[in-house]
Amino acid sequence: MGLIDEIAVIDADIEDAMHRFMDNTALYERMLKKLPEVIAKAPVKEFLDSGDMETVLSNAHTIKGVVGNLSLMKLHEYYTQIVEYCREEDYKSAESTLDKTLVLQEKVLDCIKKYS
Amino acid sequence: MIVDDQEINRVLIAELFKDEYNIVEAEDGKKALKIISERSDIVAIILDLIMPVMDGMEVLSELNRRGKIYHIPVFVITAADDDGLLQAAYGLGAVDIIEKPFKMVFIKSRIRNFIELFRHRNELVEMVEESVGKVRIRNSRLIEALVSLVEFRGTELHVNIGGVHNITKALLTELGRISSENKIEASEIEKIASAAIIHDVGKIAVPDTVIKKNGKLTDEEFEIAKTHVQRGCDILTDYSGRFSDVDMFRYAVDICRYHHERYDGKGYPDGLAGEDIPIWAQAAGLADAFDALVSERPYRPAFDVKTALSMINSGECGVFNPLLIKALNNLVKDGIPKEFYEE
Repeated sequence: MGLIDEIAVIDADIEDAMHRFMDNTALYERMLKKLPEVIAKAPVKEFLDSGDMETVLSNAHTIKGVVGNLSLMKLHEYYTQIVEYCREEDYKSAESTLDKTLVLQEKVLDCIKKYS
Repeated sequence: MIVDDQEINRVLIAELFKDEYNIVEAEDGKKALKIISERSDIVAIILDLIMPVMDGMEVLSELNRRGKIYHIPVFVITAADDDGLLQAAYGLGAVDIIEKPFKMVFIKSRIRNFIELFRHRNELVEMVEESVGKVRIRNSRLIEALVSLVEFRGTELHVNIGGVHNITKALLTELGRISSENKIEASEIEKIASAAIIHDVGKIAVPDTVIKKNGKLTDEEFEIAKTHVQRGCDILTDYSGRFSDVDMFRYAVDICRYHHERYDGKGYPDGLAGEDIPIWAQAAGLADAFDALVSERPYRPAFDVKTALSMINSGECGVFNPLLIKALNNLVKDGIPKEFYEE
């Protein structure tokens, strides 16, 4: 089982990804391996804890765009919700959505790191 | 050019176009603007809105300021969930939105279509500019020929081409700045200024005994001198077929006929007053009066700028439009600007 098969089990819609990456699996894998760096540079939890909601919104928005393009469907859905909650200033809902997001995100990152 | 701080987004779009175009990438707005200043081969900009250092909206504003937005199609990358931001981006000239996650088939055809559209548009603009340039050259040759006719009559009729042209242009530009109602497009001002050069062409039809007289004219001689405005219009009408630009011909005729009209109705030939006198003729009339005062004549030295301005302001040379007088005062408050007499 390779990275693509494994990430498909965790979250990725490979058909959608291959359509976007023009059936270039190598390119898709290469871009998947960039995700840990993107997430490390745009932390959400730390800023949520410190109450910097502007940065929470900005970072969640960044990750949302990237995971969407990587066809990580559930992560994209969670980050979309976090962005919406932040815009509505419903920070409690944003925080509870982030909790389940981080659990899934951890699995995705672990999988990617295993093949990096 | 792809401008996005996320490499994944840049790579995806680059993959889409790498076989057709050379791809240039920038990870923030500042780097993008630097590349745009240095290169002339950018055919499209795919721009993320949220970026560090300089965001997409700032880049759009700067492209507007530089006029690039009319020549290069800009596509905005966004998650399409902020209507206010999207509206602002369209307002700043973005041609289309690329939504994340990308839908590659649509992106390719949309971007390609706009690149083609802008290429055709830019070609058309170049063709029009080239034609306008040719028209300008033909008009300027005609004006030079008419000026030569005037100058042939002797030093008394020496035409200071730079002076009247440049002062008229500066006056109308400054007038537009201080009064939005009187704002005229720069390209029209250029035509008016060129037309102003031949304001006195009718003098070639006035007898030497009057036109070259070295003293004060009698009432009868003055009446003859005044006919130069009508004679100028007649000459221009004879030449009308040689003007390549209808507007410029109209400006030239108006200026010839009305540059001695005065704001209080005490000028000639028709005694027009106020706004009945075309503003271009008012500007050329004031430019002519000021230019005459600060230029040397066979019978007197040139007045210094302070004296000339005070004579204009006090109405010694006739009453002019107060807004034009204000414009002139603004322009010469620190002495005669260099551009007044630059060829």
